[in-house]
Amino acid sequence: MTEDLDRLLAAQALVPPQGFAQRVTALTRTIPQRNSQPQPLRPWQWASLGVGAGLGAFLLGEFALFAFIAGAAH
Amino acid sequence: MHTDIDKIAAGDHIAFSRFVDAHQGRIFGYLGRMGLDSATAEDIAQETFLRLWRNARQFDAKLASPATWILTIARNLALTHLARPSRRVEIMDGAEPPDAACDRPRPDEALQTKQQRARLRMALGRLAPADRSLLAASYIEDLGLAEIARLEGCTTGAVKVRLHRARARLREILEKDDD
Repeated sequence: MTEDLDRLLAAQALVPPQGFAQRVTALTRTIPQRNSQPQPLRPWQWASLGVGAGLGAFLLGEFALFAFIAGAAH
Repeated sequence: MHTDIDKIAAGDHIAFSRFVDAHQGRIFGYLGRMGLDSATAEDIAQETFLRLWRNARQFDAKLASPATWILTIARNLALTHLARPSRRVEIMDGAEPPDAACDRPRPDEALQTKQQRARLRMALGRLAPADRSLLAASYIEDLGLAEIARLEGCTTGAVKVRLHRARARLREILEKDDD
């Protein structure tokens, strides 16, 4: 029965239809590829992020300073 | 072969066609041994290669070889197909799926062989989908236990045990069918 099973399972394999590879390849011409990982940031993007973060920190510091002065005045 | 994947990731259609040519036999053989009819196998094989095309840039050679990766995609698609309720009904009804051109019997193929194929397909239909996949993978040439284990997401020890049980169960189903 073991031999039978091997024989049966071996015979169960399918064969690719004629022209399968060409057909699938033709389909890929209309299918875009996905990007694997996000692209690394470019220098100007890093600079822009730095400017944004610096500005944010400055505004936060300014607010804290004014709050401190206002608190002290009272 | 990794360079082929790199080329595919770069959008090289010739490399992709070469890759499909090299792997299509394995994929169809695997899907056929899972007990899928030729039309379903063709749909799944096509989607498998198209997914590879779409996601070629995500391929990580440290995780798997291209051959194991493509088999993993085929396995996942086949298991998703087999998990569909409509598919279960088809198996329970005992309906024989229609044969398409690619698994049409050769002229010299005997009627008995055709019946045996149908019988095995029905018997495979009564196995758990994961066991069908394991059995089918075990017949792929050059696919070692370690690769099968990676494909099935278990240890090599578990592969041996599951394979033994799946073969025993399939044999039991076929013997019961004989009675």
